[in-house]
Amino acid sequence: MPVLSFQNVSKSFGPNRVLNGLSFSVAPGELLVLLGPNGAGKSTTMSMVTGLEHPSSGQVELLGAAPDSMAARRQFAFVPQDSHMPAHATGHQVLNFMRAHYPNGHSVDDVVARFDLERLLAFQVGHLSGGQRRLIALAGAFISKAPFMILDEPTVGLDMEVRHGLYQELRRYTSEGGTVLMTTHYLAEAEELASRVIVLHQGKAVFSGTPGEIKNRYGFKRVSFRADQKPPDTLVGSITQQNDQWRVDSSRSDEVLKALMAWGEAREIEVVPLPLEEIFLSESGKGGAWI
Amino acid sequence: MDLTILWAHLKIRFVQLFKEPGYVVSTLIFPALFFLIFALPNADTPDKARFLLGSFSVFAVLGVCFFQFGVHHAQELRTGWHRFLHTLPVPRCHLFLTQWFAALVCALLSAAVVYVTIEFSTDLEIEFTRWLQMVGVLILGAAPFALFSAALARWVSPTAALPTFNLIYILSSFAGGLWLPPNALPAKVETFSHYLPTRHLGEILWKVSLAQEIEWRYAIYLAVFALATLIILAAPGPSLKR
Repeated sequence: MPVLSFQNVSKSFGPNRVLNGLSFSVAPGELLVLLGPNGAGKSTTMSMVTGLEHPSSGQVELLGAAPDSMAARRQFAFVPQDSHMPAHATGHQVLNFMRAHYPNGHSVDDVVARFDLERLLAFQVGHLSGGQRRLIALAGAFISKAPFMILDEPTVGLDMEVRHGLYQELRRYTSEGGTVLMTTHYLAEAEELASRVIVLHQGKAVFSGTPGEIKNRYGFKRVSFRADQKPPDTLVGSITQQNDQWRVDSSRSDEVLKALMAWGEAREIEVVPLPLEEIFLSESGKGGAWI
Repeated sequence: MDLTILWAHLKIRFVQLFKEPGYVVSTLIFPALFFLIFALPNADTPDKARFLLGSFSVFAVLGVCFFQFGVHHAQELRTGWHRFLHTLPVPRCHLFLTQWFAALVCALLSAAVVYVTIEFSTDLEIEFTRWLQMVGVLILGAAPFALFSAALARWVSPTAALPTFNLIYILSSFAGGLWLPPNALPAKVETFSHYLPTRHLGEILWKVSLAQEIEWRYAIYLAVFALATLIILAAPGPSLKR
């Protein structure tokens, strides 16, 4: 049974249709990343998964139950995008509060050690930075020992070192059988963590696959080579040059290679898959229809 | 009912409330201060002191209703924290119970501060059991105001909440005869005050504090007020998400 299943889910707010027949499922042990530009429907999807919003049509099930049921809420921990916590409560009070909901959860001391939070505990959360509050919220989710973690842009505001610490925790969590659904704007993060990526666009899933598949499917590869003169105009793709180093980012890399061979002036030719982030950047410029 | 979770929610709510200077000053200090500034000169006999104890106890407890169920609720409804609480494995009734229990404790505290202030500054003579009876009636009588505040909180923006509820609180307290006895109000205000729930609750509390028989029509008016706000509460409110 999937941990989460979305079946033909649509959601409208007044005349504004935010989700449009979205269907996907999350299998146990998966780390599924939802990607998409702003307004793609990622946050609305998260609100549905956590039972905060109900579909206008279609069905959402979390471990076979309605997401807002007690049975479902016992099975997941959620880190919302805005980590609003009572400003006057200390980090320690917030963690103790979270711990009270999960009788079989980790101890507060355990997550404090894992997330290196000792120095933040005595401060009121209103006096902490956004990243520090996010860290407390993440620790609060991990304290649950819930089998399903729902993280809405969990690394916003975290510095690089803390972010990589979180990656380690997530890998450990999934290796122990935990399932994760997360959204992110950082495509490198999806590449680094995801076992599967779903790309949302205008409330629909336009792609579902591994980060490797997403690159293969769209065939974006980088052909780099050295040449002392300008290559022929027949090369199809986005061409950049630095001294004698040339790069062609193209979805038709085979044709680029053939043209380079025919030209005969290129040396040290190399073909590598284009990082996901760069696909996003190059395609998002095309009127939002970036996939 | 899970007492561990209930206690955890209560603790975090008390932290939210009692570390908020605006809340503490408005609900615990202002009523006693207003009594000392505006009403102390009039409390020159034990009976007048008892009457004013009734007035300012109502004023104090209504402050808790307006601020906790109104201002605080309006601000809380729009925060991620409030939405987040609904994703935790906690029965909805716990959230409701916590809010009401916290309000009850705050109402008792604010009424106690008024009592202690009047006790030490006037010749108040009232048995402790009579005061307890007053507090009991007050808690019941304040429930419609809590419902009204919760209903209005759904429609008021977080920034508008404080001035809106302050205005309602101050005007309805004054016009309801809680600062000045109704017979000392300007004639037009006194006529108008008969239509105000604050006057109705005041009428009940004045009778209880003076050990006189309650006029039940005031209780009926309050019940109608409660019913009307319940209907508004049950109606679909504005979307809080966007």
